[in-house]
Amino acid sequence: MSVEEKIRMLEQFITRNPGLANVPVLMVNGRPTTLSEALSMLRTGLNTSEVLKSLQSLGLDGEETWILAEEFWRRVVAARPDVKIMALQGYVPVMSPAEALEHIRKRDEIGARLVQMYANLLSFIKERVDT
Amino acid sequence: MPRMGVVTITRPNHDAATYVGSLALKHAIDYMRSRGIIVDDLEGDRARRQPVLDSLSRNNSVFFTGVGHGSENVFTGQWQERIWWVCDCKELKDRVIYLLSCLTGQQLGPDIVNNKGARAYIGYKVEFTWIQAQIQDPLIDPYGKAFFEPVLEIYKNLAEGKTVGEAYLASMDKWNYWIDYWSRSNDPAAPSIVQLLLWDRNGQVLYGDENSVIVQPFQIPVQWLFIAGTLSTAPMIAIGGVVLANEFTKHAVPTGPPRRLG
Repeated sequence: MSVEEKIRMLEQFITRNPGLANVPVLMVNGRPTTLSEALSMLRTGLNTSEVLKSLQSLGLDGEETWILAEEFWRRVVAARPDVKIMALQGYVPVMSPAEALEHIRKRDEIGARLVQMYANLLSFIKERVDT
Repeated sequence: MPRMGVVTITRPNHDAATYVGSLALKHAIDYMRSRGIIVDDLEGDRARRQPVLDSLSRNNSVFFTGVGHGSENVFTGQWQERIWWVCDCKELKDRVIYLLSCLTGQQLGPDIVNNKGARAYIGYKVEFTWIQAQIQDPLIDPYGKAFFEPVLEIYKNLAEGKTVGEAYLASMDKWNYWIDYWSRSNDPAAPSIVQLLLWDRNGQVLYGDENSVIVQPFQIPVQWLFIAGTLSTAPMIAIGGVVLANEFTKHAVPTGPPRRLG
């Protein structure tokens, strides 16, 4: 797929899904990157080959997924530290985004589940970018 | 056989998650009652195993449902007292079950249907997880609403005489509506909301007979009986007859082939 075509697909995705444009979804030069940032890079010719390569897998790689999920929750903590994450399972009836982030950093059982949820989101974004 | 149009529901409220869930299910109760369905509401300390067994025995409810913490093989009530667990849920035979709970779709749900003879089960094979701006009724919460409208859609459809399969699909449509809604939103919480909506939607499962219903196809809401009783003139009876005929049509059980559920 040409760079121009990839740019067109990203533009289309961002127009249709502005709420997901600033989710960190891929690693470029070892740094979590959003689709908006990836689009800017492709437009300016910066890191083109690495962006194209990362877009293929979109963070769905064991270690990268953890790093991206941590960045995802770090941004939620910054933007909406006050929301309540609730679950119908005994050990987490309610937690804050900061606590969610802490679980991911500790890489405990709850952190692993949060990473799984984030991976679900990545798959969804990948599907929407590709179609 | 269990009595159609009769429901037993558990609404524990001992922690934030069950409290919010119980507020959501109050809307389901109000709607079902408005449709003439008899609901035995086991709220708070009544959301325990013995009151549930008593209710099922006394009312012979066709529909058992409730909110509560859960695991792969256990559904719980107030203070996480076990209500149903794998190998001990034979009282659910011939009933329709909807458990708003974590993970029971993995083992308990299949056991209820395959081994204990329940007609159908809807539940979740994942941790049912959501986001709220405040700990309050989710239908007035800007974030919680997106998670509980798909839940309430199941009750609404079943109360209206739709099949379990139709209720399930209507719920999936609601999940998809809210996923699209929040994908388009610039609210800073939007990505985390979409993430959890996807999680819950993908984890919602249905086992058993998709064509099961919880009300008789021509069950008439009690309010209609009252109206009919007050009618005395022939023209009014004629009008009432037309209205009741429409209601009959609305409640008719669809006869199409079962659809594959995603």
